Amino acid sequence: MKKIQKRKSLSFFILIFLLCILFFIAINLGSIQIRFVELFKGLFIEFDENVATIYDLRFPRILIAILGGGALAVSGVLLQAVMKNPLADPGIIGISSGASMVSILLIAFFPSLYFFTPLFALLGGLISYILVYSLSWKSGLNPLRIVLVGVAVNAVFIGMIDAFQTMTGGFLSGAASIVNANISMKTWDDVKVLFIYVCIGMILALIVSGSCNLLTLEDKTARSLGVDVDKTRLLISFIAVMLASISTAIVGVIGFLGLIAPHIGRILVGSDHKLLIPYCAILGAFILLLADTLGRVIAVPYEISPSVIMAVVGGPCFIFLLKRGDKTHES
Amino acid sequence: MKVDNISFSYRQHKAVDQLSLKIVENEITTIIGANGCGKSTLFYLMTKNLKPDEGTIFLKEKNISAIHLKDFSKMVSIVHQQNKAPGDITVEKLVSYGRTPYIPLHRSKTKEDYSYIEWALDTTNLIDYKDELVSNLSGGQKQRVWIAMALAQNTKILFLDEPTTYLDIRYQIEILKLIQKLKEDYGMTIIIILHDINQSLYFSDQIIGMKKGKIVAQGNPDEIITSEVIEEIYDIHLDVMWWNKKKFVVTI
Repeated sequence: MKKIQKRKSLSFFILIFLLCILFFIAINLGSIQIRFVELFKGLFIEFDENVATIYDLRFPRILIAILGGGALAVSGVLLQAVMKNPLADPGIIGISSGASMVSILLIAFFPSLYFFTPLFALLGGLISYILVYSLSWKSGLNPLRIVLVGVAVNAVFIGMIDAFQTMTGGFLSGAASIVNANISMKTWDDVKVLFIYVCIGMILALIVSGSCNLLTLEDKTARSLGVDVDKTRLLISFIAVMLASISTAIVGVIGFLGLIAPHIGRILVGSDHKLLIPYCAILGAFILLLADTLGRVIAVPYEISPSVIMAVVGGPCFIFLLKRGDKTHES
Repeated sequence: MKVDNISFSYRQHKAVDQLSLKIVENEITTIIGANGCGKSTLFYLMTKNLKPDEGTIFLKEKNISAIHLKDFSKMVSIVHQQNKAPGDITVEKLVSYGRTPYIPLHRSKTKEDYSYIEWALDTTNLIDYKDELVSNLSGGQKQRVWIAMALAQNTKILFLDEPTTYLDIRYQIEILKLIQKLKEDYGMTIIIILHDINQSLYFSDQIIGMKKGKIVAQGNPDEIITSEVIEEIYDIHLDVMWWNKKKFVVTI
């Protein structure tokens, strides 16, 4: 028992350490490079031109990858708990594409409402989620049916985005950044918006972590413990959709992150959501920052979007998980 | 608990038909009947998993439909026939879920919660297994874990849906003795669905025999279980005999 606790603590420690290292590498990647001491000095003690440049150009991008990655991973954990489905992911089941479609329409037709994009993205995410949930409900939720309906809903929204692209003869830069998940031009304003919503979502996710644990039991067992299963599902779903949609509005569509992070998390820290949610928040941040950092270096002078890296890595992982099935025990 | 003239239908099929009964406190009441006779539906109705189309179920003079689910779970605990838990959950953690009705979202477990968890583990002889994974336990031990979780709810009424199904005879007896102990030592009122007539005869204070959604026999096992009643309930003739001052049904 103590051994298991030790392993879990170690997993947290190593991940935080790796994230710090990656953060520093990402800061130093490019034409300007600085040492840690210089960075510290430039940030907190005296003005340094190099640090100021990094602060304005690289920091927002890195922080957005961290916040967006964390939000998507936690969204995946929550969706998997609610749907009792280890294959649920906001990208795969269409929440991200629903959110991005509404965001794109908003940016195209009402550019003055740009700063309300996250709220409209949430609306799009909710529409997708309600569609997937209601269409796959047939006296219960079947994991495979959710994925199939999700893929169909996702395809419809992607198709609508493509149609819109064709009709307008190209993309506005804001809309294109959502579709391509391009975070290279993000500013501190984007960080602020994402930070506020992600903080709210994360706090709510931690509050409902105990309820997520109870949803891993049979519904009737949870009910016998006084849990209003339907209301609990609704609340957790809303938090999950919020985290995924807000993240999509700022970062763009990133597939498979909400799928991979919870699975790695479960292997390393177990299925207790009180640990799994904070762990996946850090792990998601690490994975997306890693994908973005790799995208910056593997095809210099071009940049590969983190969504492309995630799709290349995530696709095979999805197939692997599909074959492995879930690992709950019945008695 | 009092059930007053309740009916329930699944579309056209009437599963429970104008049924009334009274559960006696501090007794073991067993519901028996053939497959599809409505006993599980009655179980779900009495445990608030289904709502009757007609009639009322009273708990302490109060209609259970009007009792909030959380309050109900502080009065009634339920062990379902099939249960599912994550593969890496420990015995103690799963049993601690029994304290859910008492713990609001914003607070963690108190000393009182831990003392009930400890008591539930102790009563079910699981204290030495508390750090074990539930998935590593035998069928009988797993069933005791689910009973312990229900005990941690600290209720006076315990419902069990076929708790001995899928267990070998040794574990079946072990579970039934545990249930008997809960009644005798802690004054619990126990309502249980059982398939084995002889186990019902041996461990129950009251038997309710059902057929086509209605009660066809109810009372003290030694008094009501006869060949005629068995035939009425199960549509099969079986001899009923006395052995060692106990009645038993010859099932083969």
